Amino acid sequence: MAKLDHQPFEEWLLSEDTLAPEDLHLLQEHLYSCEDCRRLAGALGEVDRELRTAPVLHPAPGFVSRWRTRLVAERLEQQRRQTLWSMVFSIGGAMALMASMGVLLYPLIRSPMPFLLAMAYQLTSTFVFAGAIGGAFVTVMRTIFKIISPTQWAAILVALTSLGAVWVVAMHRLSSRRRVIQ
Amino acid sequence: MQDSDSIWVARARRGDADAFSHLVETYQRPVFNLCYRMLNDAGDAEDAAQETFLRAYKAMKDYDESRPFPTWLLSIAAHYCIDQMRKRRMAIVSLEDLPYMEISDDAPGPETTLSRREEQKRVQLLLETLNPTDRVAVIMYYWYDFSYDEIGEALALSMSAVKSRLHRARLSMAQEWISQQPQAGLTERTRHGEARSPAF
Repeated sequence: MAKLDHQPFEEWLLSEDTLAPEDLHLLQEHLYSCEDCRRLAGALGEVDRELRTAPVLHPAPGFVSRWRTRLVAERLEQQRRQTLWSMVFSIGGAMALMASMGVLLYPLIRSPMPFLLAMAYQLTSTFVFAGAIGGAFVTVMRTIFKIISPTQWAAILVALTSLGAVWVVAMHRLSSRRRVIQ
Repeated sequence: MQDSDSIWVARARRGDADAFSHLVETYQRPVFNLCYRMLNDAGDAEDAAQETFLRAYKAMKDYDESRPFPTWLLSIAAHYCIDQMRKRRMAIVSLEDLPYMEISDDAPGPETTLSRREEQKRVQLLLETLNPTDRVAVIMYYWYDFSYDEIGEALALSMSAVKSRLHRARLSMAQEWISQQPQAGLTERTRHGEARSPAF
């Protein structure tokens, strides 16, 4: 019998849907006459029974403690990986820094004399400049001391002290908490 | 999911490892059973079940509490097992290496044990005729009473795709059954169709 001849009966046998009474009757009629479909129906019933009666298996005792151990191992492994990556990044960063410095310092390393001369010149210039500034300061101070008499110095000192006292008092009053009068 | 489970799930989502251990205790058996039925090897099933719980633990913060926890957990197990099966292309394993059987209170005698082993072999031979996705659909349908919707949700399939896969799987297993036992399924001609079928 051609496969097509078993339709829709094969479909009905394989379907989990409930058949309408007239379809059920047609199926029963077909099963009576068709050995292939009868065999399929029987096999489906057996397979269904086998699967529905098969037990739910369980793991060996201690599954949960094995899982806990595995979780701890996984965490340690994760920490190890993180440490490893940190080291890789640190070493990589250091190497990249060294490489970039190497690129920058290569001309210097290759011929250091011009750099050393420039450094010496820079240092000398700085010392000379500082000496000149110091000399100018000393000259200005000497001139001031010659111009202003001791009496004038005393008056300036008193004025500055008074100004300082006024400033302290003013700051104190400004920073103290004010009363709010309702 | 039971109410008590939802409390454990909520605690586990906050990173409580002890709460998750409680969930491992509760669901170890269904997860292991699914892995065993998929991989047909006790050692591989143990590894897969452990890995499933580890993945679930890591993904707990992403778990959507509107989904049933067992469905979510079994979908992780199913996907992991499908991947494993595809990786190893189902190397032939000895069916003599049977897993840890269900231990009943009354210790079974040698005949019962032998009978169970035979049943186990038959079931695993039937399952081995199926591709990984069809197999997991069958396992969820028969062992866990999942609806088409739940299977579809777990395997990211439409309901019609689930129906189609189960349909194909049942035909494949029935054909395997007939080939194993040529006389099987032959029933007496009866006008009222005593030949039992799930269709009835």
